[in-house]
Amino acid sequence: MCLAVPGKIISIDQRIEDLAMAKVDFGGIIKNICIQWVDVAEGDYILAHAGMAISVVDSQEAEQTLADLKQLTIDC
Amino acid sequence: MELNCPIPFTDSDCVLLAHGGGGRMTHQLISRIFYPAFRNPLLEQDHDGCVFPVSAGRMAYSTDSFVVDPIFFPGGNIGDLAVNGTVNDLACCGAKPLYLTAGFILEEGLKLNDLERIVQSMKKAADRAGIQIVAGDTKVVERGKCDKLFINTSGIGIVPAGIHIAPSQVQEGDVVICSGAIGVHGITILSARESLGFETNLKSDTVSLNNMLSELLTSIEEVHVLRDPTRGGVSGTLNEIAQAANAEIILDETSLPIPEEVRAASDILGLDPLYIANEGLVLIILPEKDAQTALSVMHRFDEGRKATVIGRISSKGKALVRMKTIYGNYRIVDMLSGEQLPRIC
Amino acid sequence: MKYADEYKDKQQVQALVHAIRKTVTRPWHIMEICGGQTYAIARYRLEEMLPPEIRLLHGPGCPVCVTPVETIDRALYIASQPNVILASFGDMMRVPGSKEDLLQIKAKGADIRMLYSPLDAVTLAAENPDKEVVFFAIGFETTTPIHLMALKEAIRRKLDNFSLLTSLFTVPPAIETILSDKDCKVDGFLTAGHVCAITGNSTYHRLSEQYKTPMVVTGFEPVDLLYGIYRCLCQLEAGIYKSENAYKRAVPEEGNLQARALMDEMLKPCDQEWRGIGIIPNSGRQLRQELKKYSSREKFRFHPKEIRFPSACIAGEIMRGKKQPGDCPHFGTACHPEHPIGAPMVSSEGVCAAYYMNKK
Repeated sequence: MCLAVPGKIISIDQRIEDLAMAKVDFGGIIKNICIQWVDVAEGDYILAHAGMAISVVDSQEAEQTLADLKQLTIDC
Repeated sequence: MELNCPIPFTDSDCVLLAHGGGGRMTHQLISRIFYPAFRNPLLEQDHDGCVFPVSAGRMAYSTDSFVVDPIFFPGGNIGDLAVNGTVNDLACCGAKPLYLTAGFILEEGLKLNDLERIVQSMKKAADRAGIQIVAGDTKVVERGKCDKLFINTSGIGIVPAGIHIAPSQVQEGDVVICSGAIGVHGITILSARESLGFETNLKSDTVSLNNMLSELLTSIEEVHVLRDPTRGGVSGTLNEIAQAANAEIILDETSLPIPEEVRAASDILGLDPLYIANEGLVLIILPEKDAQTALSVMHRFDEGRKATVIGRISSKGKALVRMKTIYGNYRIVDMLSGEQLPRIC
Repeated sequence: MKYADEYKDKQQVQALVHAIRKTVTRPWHIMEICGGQTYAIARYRLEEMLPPEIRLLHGPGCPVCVTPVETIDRALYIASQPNVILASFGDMMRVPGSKEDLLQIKAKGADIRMLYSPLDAVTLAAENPDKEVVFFAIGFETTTPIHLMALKEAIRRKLDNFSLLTSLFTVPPAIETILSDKDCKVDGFLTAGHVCAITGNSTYHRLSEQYKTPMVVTGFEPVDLLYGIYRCLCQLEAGIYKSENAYKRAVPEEGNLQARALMDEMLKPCDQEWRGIGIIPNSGRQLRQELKKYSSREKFRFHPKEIRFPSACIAGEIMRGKKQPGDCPHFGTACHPEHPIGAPMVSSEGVCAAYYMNKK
């Protein structure tokens, strides 16, 4: 139902209260995305849907999943 | 006190309806903007049309109209697009393009500076392609009746003896070559539209392909198909070829030259790069034995530096385009029903 | 793109397919809820990589597909009124109402704008103070709070010319409807990763427990999807059921608290019609009473005429997991993307269109 893509925060703009915005780099495409709901710093990755960051990509969990998958490959 | 009759303005910084009226202002527009840029002996016959000698043999003739929003975009504008588009159509017929005509429909209020920039770009594109713009026409419509300006170009070229470009020539085992990166023009245009607005370093790939294609046709005897995948993208064009050739084309997903930015923008907007328009790209179908020669010829040109084989003709007798996915299975690459629309789900 | 490309990896896909083959011992039906997942499954042809024991069923999680005809007719009516700009995602442009679609009335002169984000509609309202700007706010829990964010911003900027035409759905009641059906075939669910990124996983723990059915929060890339299927299969084969998370990099257990708070603050539950399925109690959301001046339904009086449903469409049965697109006599013949009979043939993540466009 919902297309959401991961992108990296390049810069943050807090000028409007309750509507924090960020420039986000999606593989060379830069878009303004609202980051009001996520606690992020420059360099973090977020998942954006319809102009809004809906979650922060958790790099540790991402690594853990890849490690789990690797283990699965060895086990099978 | 000095009394003066009000004299109508003839100096304006934008296009007025009077510029299309056929009177003094029309002449002013032509002599100030169009003639200085396009100047050549055929144009300067200054007649209702242009008269030129023809040689024996076959000619190619094509026409295309250009409407693009925005009219200026990274890497080009509607002017070079209009020249390159018709030049490429002629080149894809195997022709050496010679002459172009240009028809302009201008919206009143269009900045004359903008028009001049566009005309200068046309001149540059024409020079690069080695063609002459030999006749033209200008009409002005009321504000709102057209979007800034529309350009139609028609062109004529000579097809050298021995060249037969036609989908019916396609044979089983032929390879499909793509001359460069896919989807760049379409994504650039989208990036420049306010409603979707995003920043990218992409630039439109609009360029004339006739110099490269002429070299290719000199080096290789048997070129079966040349087509520029503009509207409808690579997928639309390949489907048209498959239909015309009654052949099955199989693309290899791993070999498609799709730049990361095009991929990323497509992911964000829910588009498929294979359906995105290109302006400086050509798809070539020729026998596999000639593929290496073709690639080495193309790699010598800027516009063909990234040329690569993206698929092959697997069989004749059934019109179909399929793609071998990165996982080794197959899916049909269909023609699109309508225009591809950005989506969020 | 980082965090996407790694999850398309061919070797990883093969390894997961191998693991699934080794694990499966008998037939199972697994339903992916989300249309985005249906699209990816069709696009990458994942079904044919799976062992024959595993059949994927395709759920109703496409807001474009389930938005009722009456709501589309309402959007068409509103867009046809003078001084109105109707803004919409591109997704809705071609979905048929009872007579026309948005693209058709745009051609006839309606001012319809395609936008990427509801937040852009607020800008549109600010730039056009003498026009009514209506945003066609469709969506599940992922998109819903973004519409609310836009509304909040419009209120902050005192833009009384902004309103939302809502068509808002929630996933859990749909899952309950599917599971409560006595003919239900679904053995396990892949729950929608991006919905859960907002809602979190707590409701699914309850549903999984109550209906004794495995539920696995799943992402959208091929590796994510196969991993979700694998985790679901492991539960099924082991005879256990719980809600687990196979998309942890994007979905925290509690979801997005700010977005959830916004939904609680501004919306109330309502019975909602799902196109092709019917009314599901409490499955919809509408603006609270105090916000009704921002509801396009209140601003524009529309009296729906009797709606003729295309009776030939079996979309409802497909979305409940009872049938596949191929079971429909009209699939690919009378009904195709150029002439859709039902909504799932329109949106590219509608199950029928996804099947049609990516057929073998």
